[in-house]
Amino acid sequence: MFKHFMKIVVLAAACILAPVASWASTCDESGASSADIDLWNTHGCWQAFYNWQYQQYNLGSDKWGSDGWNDACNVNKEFPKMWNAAYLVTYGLADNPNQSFHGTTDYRQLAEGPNSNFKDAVYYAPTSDTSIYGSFTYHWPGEDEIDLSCLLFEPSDSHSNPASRAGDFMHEGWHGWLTEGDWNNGSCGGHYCGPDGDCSWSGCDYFYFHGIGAYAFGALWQTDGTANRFHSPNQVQVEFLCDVSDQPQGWVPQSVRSAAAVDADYRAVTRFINGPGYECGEPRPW
Amino acid sequence: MRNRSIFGMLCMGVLSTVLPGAALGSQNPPSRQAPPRFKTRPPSAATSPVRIPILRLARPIPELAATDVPPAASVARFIERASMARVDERDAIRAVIVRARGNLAVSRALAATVFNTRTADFTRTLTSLAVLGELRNPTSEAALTSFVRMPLPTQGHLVEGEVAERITLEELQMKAVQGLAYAKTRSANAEVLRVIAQHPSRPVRAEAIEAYLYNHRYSAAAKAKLLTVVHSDERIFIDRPHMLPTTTKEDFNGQLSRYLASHPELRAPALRSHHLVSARIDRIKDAAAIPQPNLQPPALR
Repeated sequence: MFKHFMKIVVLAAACILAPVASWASTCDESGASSADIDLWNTHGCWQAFYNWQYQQYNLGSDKWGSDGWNDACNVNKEFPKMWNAAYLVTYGLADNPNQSFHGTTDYRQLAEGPNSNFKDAVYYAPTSDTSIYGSFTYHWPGEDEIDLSCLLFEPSDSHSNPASRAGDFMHEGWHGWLTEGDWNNGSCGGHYCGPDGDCSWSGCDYFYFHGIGAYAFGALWQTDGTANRFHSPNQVQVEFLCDVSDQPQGWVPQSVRSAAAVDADYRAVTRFINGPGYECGEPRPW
Repeated sequence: MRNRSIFGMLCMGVLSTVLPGAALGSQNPPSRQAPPRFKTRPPSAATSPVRIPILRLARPIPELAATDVPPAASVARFIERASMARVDERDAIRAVIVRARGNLAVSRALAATVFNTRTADFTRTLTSLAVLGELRNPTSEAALTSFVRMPLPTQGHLVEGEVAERITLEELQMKAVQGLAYAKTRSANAEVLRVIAQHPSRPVRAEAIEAYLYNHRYSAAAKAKLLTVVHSDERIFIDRPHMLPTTTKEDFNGQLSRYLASHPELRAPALRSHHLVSARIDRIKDAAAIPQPNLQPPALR
C-alpha cells in the first residue's frame, strides 16, 4: 500500500516538474537562411511588432527563454525567426479575391494563439526533437500546444524559411481545428497511415478540392459536414504556401516566394492519397 | 503531426486519485474562453545591439556580369540583391540576366555557386538555380543537367520517416528542371523527357511535366509527347490545375472542374468522425458566436 502511494507521489511530482525540462531546447543558431534575412531586411527588427506578436501567439519566456527571447533582434535565433514568420502571415498576403485561396483573416486566426472559430487556444514552444517538423498536442485542462522543431530554424534545412515555418503554423493549427470539431483524420499522428494511394509519406491526407472563391475570406473554418466542404492539414498548408507564392504583397522577397512555391509543389504530390493537389507558381526559372 | 497528451491524461488520473473530489470525469473538455496572457517577462533585444534597418531594397540592381569585380564577386553581389527582389522587379532582374547570357566566366561562377551552397543555404541555392535557369546558355544547361542527375541521398537525418537531405535535393532539382525546360534546346528537351521517364523522384518528375507543358504552352502536341514517356500512374500530372500570374478565377475554376471530371479517383471518401455529424454542426454553429481576435497588430509602416 505504501509503495503504491509512493508511486503516485513520484508521478505527481513528475507532473509538476516536467515543464522545467523544456528550458533546455536549443537549436543551431549559427545563421539564418537568405529568405529569413531578406524578409528581415524589409522590417529591420520592428520592436512594436514583436511586442504584439509574442502575446498574440502565446509565446512565453518559460518556453523561449534560451532561444532568443532576450535577443529579439538577432535573426539567427529561434524567437526572432518565429516572429519573422508571423510578420509574413500578418502583413504579407495580397488577399486577392480573384486568385487567393484564402485571406489573411483566415491564416491569422488559424496561426494565432487565442480561441477562435478555428480552434481552441494554443501556445507555441520550440523543440529539439528533429524527427518531426512540428506537432500539435491536445491538452486538457489548459491551452493546446504547438511545438516547432529545430528543423524550422536551422538554415540548411529546406523548411527553415519564413514561408515554410508559417506553413507549419497552418498545418498544426488545422490539427486544432480537427480536434475542436472531433474529426477523425487518421491514426498516424492525426493523418492516415501511409504510404497509401498517391501519398508516399508515412502520414497522409486527402485533398478536398475547391475553386477560387469557394470560401469567402474568413470562412475557411466552415464545413458542411461532408467531403464537399472540408480541408485537411496538408491541404491548408499547400493553399497557404500557394497564396504566399502567387498572391503576396509586392514587397515580399523573391526568396520567400520561391521557397513557398517549391514547398507547396513538393507537398502537393507527396502527401495526398487521392491524387496531386494544385501546382503553384509559374514554372519559369525567374 | 497530432498528439494526445498521454502524460497529461496520466497526470489527471493520478490527481483524481489524490484528489477524489476533483471534477475530472467529463468526456468532453469544457469550452474555453480567450486565454489569459502568459505571465511572462516581455522579450528584449538587450543582449545584442539593435540592428539598424538595412533597407537594401533601395539599392539599384547590380549587373550580373559587372566589370568592376571578379566574376565570383559579381555573381555573389547579384544573387544577394536578386534574392530580396520585390514582385515588380521581376522583369528588371530578367533583363539583367539576359545581358549576362554571353559571359562564360559569369556562367561558370554561377554554376559553382549552385553546387557550393546547396547544403548550406537552401533558399540561396534556389535563387542561384533560378538565375542559372534564366541564363539559358550552354554552360547553364550543362550545369543544370549535372544537377538534376545528382544521386539522391539514401541515408541521412530521418524526419517523419523521410531522409531530410533527400527532400532538400529533390526540391532543388525541381527548381533545376524548370531551367532545363525553359532552355528548350533539343538537348535540354531530351533531358526533361528523360527526367520524366527515369528520375527516381516523383516530385521532380511532376515538376518536369509541368515545366515542359508551360514551355510548350500546354499544347495538345506537348501533352501527346508526354504520354509517350510519362509513367502510366502519373498521367494525372498532365491534367493538374495551375495558377499562373495571368490565370483568372474563372480559368482556374474551369481547369479544376475538368480535372475532377477527368479523374473521379480524386473525389475524397466520406468523412470519418468520432461523433455524430449533427452534433458537430451544432458545435460549428456555436463557434460562429466567437468574436474575431480583437488584439490588432501595429499598422504596417
